Amino acid sequence: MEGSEASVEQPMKKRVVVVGGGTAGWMTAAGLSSLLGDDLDITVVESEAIGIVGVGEATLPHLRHFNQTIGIDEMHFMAATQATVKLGIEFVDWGRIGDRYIHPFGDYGASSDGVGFHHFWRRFADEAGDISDYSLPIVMAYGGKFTPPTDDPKSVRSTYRWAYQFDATKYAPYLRAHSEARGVERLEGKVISVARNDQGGVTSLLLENGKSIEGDLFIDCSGFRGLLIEDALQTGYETWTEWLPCDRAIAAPCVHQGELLPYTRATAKSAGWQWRIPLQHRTGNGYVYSSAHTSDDEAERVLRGSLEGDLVADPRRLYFTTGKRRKLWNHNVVAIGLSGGFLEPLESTSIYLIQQGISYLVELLTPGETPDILRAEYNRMMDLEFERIRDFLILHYHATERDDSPFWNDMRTLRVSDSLREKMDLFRRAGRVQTYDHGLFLEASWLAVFLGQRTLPRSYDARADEVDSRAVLGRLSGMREHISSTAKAMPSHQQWISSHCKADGMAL
Amino acid sequence: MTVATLLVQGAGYPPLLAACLLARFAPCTSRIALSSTGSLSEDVIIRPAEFKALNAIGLQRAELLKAGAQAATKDGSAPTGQDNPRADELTISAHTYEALLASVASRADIHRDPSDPDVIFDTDTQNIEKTSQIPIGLGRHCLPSVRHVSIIQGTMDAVFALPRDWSDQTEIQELKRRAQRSTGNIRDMISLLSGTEASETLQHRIDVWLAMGRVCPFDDDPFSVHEWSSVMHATVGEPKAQSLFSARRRARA
Repeated sequence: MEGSEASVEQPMKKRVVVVGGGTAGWMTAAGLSSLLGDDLDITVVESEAIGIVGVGEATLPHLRHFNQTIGIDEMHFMAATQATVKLGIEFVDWGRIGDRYIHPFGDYGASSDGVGFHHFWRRFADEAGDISDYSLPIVMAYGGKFTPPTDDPKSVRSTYRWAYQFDATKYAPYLRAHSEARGVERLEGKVISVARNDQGGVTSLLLENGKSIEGDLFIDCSGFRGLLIEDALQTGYETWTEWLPCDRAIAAPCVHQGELLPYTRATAKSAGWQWRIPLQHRTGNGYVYSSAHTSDDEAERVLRGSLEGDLVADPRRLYFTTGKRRKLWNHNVVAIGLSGGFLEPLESTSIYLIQQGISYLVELLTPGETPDILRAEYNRMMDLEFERIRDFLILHYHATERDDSPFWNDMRTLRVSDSLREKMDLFRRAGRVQTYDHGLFLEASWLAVFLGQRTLPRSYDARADEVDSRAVLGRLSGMREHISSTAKAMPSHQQWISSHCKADGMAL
Repeated sequence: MTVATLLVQGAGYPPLLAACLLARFAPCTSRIALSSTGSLSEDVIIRPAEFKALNAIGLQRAELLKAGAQAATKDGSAPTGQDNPRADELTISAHTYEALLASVASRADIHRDPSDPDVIFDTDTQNIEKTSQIPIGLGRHCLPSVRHVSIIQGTMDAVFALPRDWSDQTEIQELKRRAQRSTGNIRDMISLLSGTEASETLQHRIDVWLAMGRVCPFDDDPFSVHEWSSVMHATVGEPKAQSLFSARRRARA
């Protein structure tokens, strides 16, 4: 079918075969069927004998847009996946042991005449207090408060966004039901061989039960292995372990204790970091570590020793190599999810990268065969996404004063890229953040990590000096009070969950 | 606090425009000086996106219209397209525009004494060797239709990176990077309009456009999707196909 010229007859639907039924597979099926269902015949091949990784318990606000676009009822979804609200990520012990800060989903203060708020704050750093006091989502997070933001740009309640913390193993089944209702066919079975044409493209898959499935476009959501993109097409993998050496994780959910917090926590450990994600029914925990700096047994001991409650499942290990495929779209195979690449979940980017992969695919799919140039455009955009997240993650490790373990000594003295070094130097000198238009993590995010990890600017934009000091201090004080009183007036996160999206059987 | 002298030099309206913007937006620790020579005979094309900056220096659309600006493109090479000029875009003679800017400059604190500057912003040339000299825009040989946008974009990008410490090379390098960061996109637009050899990025833009009518997103692009698609339509032709998603949206509409 690929390569056929347009004819006067109704063109045949493009046959899309998704291999793998985890989060990536069912998100792809749900996205494509909702947006292009009339033009595509979509089949998902998955095997119940193969477990799913279930990446991304903590997410970014972008996922809410995805769910809305494909027509998911948000409160029903949150109840079904035991979801809580996430206003940001708290980083503990990263700059120094004892430090903590939140990277919020929102801005700090308000800019004035094009001069960023942080320049005014820096001018009065001694009197102005912590910059976190000027971020509503941070004040809400530490106060355990939540109410959805408004659309009114004049309101301080429009300065934040929110995301979900959810049980990722429940997301794929949820999307499966959604997709099958939109005509997606599911086939149970393991792929045992892949047939290719003379040009190198995949033509069909042979399943263990003898069934053969032909397709025009294949989406590889088979996980780390990359059944099609690597095993069949041998696309190649670009490793980034020289900058991000963590290569293993051990995950262990436990009984939840205490207040239900609207944020994820990432605590730096001697050879990596530990996540804590509060869900309605349990707390997700995991230790991401470098096998060159600690053993599996020691990592498990550290994780078990820091859990807030009893384990609710056996610890599970993950092995990974940070990096990405050299081409995420190669021939007629698109790698989405872990088959395309892996960046550790420090900034909850796994599901975001799946979502972007689907979005660019939807934007670039044309009738008939996909020209090389459109594959190149897809790869250009996805490379940008991966590389910009990578540099932001490296910043977390490199901007540290920690010297208490070989791991942190290695990270502190790491030879980073020239572009990241330039970014850090520039911020240290005058508080300037180099920004870009496309990709994740814009100015406020860089600012949060720079300031949270003691990369403090020596100076600030000279235009911040042009406002009378009493006026600036008055404005800062008013802003802080307004943010504090706005947060205080909100219901608690726990109350909000209870009223809007409590999971069946949960006593919150 | 040390006062830094910023000299803007060049021919015609570009240095005047850059000096007025600097006088409005640069910190008061900056002394703005101007050295303009000669004039330009071309028409100036002002895109809707540029009015925000002009309003900030006190130039309103009504004043431009009163001075003879036309509310449509006359120049066939305007970036918003030959066949479909936009009514919200203005065209004005360079001579008239220069006079209006001179009037703005006379009310601003702009000096005509070019001696001993800390930095020179040059709107005429791109090939500058001196470390204290920074090109703004794309120089004298820039296509007239994109000269105005290149000066506004370059000056505003520079404003937000003016060093606090003029002896700090990291800050100066950032200033240069910012002042020039949109030029790649503007150069691509010029090549597209003039039919000159395409850069690698422009060739990519053209090939993607022809394949499916997509305008490729690039960082720091001062031109809108509408502008790129209008020029692509006019210069390289119709796309061979459209995306399934666009086709579906159009069918629904």
